[in-house]
Amino acid sequence: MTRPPESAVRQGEPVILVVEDEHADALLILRALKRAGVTYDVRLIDDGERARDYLLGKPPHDNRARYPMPSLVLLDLKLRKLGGLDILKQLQEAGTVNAVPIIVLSSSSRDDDIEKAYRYGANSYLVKPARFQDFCKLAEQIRSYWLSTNESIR
Amino acid sequence: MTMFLFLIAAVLRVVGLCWCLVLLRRERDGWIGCLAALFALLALRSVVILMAGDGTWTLQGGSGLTSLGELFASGLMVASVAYASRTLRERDRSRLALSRVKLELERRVEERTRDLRQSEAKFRQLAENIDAVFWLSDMDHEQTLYVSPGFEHIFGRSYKELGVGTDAWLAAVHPDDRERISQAYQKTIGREEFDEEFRIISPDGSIRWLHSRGFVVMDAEPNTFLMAGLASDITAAKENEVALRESNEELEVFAQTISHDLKAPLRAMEGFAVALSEDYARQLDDRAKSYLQLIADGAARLDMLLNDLLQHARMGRTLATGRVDLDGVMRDVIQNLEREISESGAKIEIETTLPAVTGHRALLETAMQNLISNAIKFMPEGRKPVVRIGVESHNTSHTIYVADNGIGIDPTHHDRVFSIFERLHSREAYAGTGIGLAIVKKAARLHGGQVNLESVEGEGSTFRLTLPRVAEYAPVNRDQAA
Repeated sequence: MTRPPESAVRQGEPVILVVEDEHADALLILRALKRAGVTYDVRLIDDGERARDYLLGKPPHDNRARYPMPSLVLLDLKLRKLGGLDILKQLQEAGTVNAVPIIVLSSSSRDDDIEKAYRYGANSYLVKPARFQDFCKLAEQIRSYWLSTNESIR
Repeated sequence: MTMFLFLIAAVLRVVGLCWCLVLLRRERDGWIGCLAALFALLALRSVVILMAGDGTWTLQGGSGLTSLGELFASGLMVASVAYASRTLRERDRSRLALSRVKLELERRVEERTRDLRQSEAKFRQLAENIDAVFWLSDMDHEQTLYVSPGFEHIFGRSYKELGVGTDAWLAAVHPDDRERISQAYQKTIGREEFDEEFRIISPDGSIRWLHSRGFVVMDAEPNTFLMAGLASDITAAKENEVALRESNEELEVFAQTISHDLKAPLRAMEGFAVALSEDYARQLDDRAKSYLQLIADGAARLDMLLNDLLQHARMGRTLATGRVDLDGVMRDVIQNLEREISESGAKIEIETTLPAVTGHRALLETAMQNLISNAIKFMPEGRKPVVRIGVESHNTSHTIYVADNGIGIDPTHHDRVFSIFERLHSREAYAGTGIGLAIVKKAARLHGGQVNLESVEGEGSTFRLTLPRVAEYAPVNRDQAA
C-alpha cells in the first residue's frame, strides 16, 4: 500500500505526495484515500527536508521522470527537521508554491498556524479528524474537489 | 433752708473729692488727671472752709459764696468729674477690646504659622519619602520650580544633570517611547492633562517603567500656568503584567500542544480499532469485536474531552466582539444539533424573536448549543423533549431562557452543575464531558453576564443566560428576515 518515492515506477500515473512523519497517521491517510477511491500514485515522505527537496526538484529529485511533480500535496505541519510552515515559506521564497495545490492536514486548529499557512501560500487547511469515519469523509471531499472539480496547472 | 442747701453742697463736695481722689489714683497723667487734681483742690478748699472757724457751721466761707452758688458749683464739679470718669471708663473699655483683638490676632497668626509649618513639614515628608516624583513647573516660563528627591532615586540621577527646562526629563525616556511621550507632553502646553506610561533608562542602563500624570494646578494670573505632577515607578506591576501574559501564552501553547500531541495517538487507537474490525471481521468473534468497539469509544470520548478542555482553556483570551444576531446563532445551533433533535424527536419552540447583542459569536453559539443540547439530552426514558427558547428584555440586559421538560436538577446541585468536570449522572445514563455548563458560565462571565438555573426535579429545568445590552440593536424581524 505504501510506496516510498524511490520505488516509484508507476510511470505516467499522477502523484499525490503525503508529507507525514507520524506513521499511524500516514497509514490512516492512505487507507482513507484508498477507501475514497483515489487511484493516484500516493507517495509518502516522512521528513520535512526531503519533502522540500522533492518539491524544489533538488538532486536527486530533479529527475522528474522518477520523481514527478505531484498533482496534490497533503502536508502535515509538525515534521522532523523542517516543519510544514517552513516548507511552505521556503517554497514561497523559491516561487514554486503555486505550481501545485498544497493542502495542510494538521492536528492543530490554532489560529496562528492557520493564518501562517495561508500567508505562506497553502491552498487549503484541513484539521485531522479524530475518527476514522470522518477521515474517510474528508478523503472523499479531497478527491471530489481537489482531484476532480479543481483545475491545477499542468 | 439755707442749712439744708448747705448740707447738700457739703455732701456733693465730699463725694466729688472722693471721686477726684479715685480718678487721680487711676489716672495720674493726662488731662483727666489734671482736671481731677484741680477739682480735688477746689473741693478740699471749700470743705476746709466749710468746717473752718470755731467749729460752727457757717455759710460765710472764705470764698464768700452764697449757699445757692455753692450748691451749683458743687453740682457742676460732680457732673464734670462724672463725665471725666465716664470718658475714662469708655476709653479703658475700648483699650481693653483693642488689646483683646490684638491678642486674638497674634494667636491666629501663630496658629497659621504653626499649621503652615506643619503642612509644609507634612508635604516635605510626603514628597521626600514617597517612592515617586512630585514636580511643579511654571509652564509659561519653562521653569521647573520643584522636583522631589524621589527623582534621583527613580531616574538614578539628579534633575539638574538633565537640564533646567520643564521637559529635560524627556532625555531619560527610552528611545522607543520618547517620540510618543514628547508628543503627549507637548499637548500639556494647550493645558491638557498628561497621563502616560513609559520606560526610562538609568545611567547604569537599567530600564524602569513609569506612570506619570500632570495636572494644571494654578491659573491665578493670566500669565502664570503651573503644572504639578506625580510620576511613580510601576516597573514591578509591568513585570507582573508581562509575566502574566507570558504565562497565559505559555498555557495556551501548552493546551494546544497537549491537544495536538494527544490527538495523534487517539486517532491511531480509534483508526486501527476500526481497521482491525473491518479487515479481520472474519477472524474475530463477537467478544473481540466488542473490545475493539470499547477502544474506539474510549478514544472518541477522550477526543471530546480534549476538545472541550481546549475550548475552555482558549476562552480566557481577549475576545474580538461585534454585533451578534442571536436569531442567526439559534438557527445555526439548531442545524448543528439536527441529529440529536431528530433522534430524540425533540420539539424546539422559539417563543420570541431573539435580539442582537454585542459579543463574541462563536462563544455565544457554543453557550447556546450547550444549553440546548443539554435540554434535549437530560430526558427521562420515553419522554419527548420540548425545549422552549425566548428572551426577556430588561433595561440594561437581555435574558435568554432555555426551558426543558427533562429530568430537572435537585436544588442542592444547582451551583455544582456549573463547575468544570462536574457530573450528576453516570456517563452510561447521559453522555458528556461535564464541561458544557462550565463553558456556558465562562462565556456568560466573559460577556459581563451570568447564567442561572431554576428547576423542579422530574419536571424540567430553565436556564437563563443574562447578557448586558452593551449596545442597543434592533432585533431582526423574523418576517423581514424571511
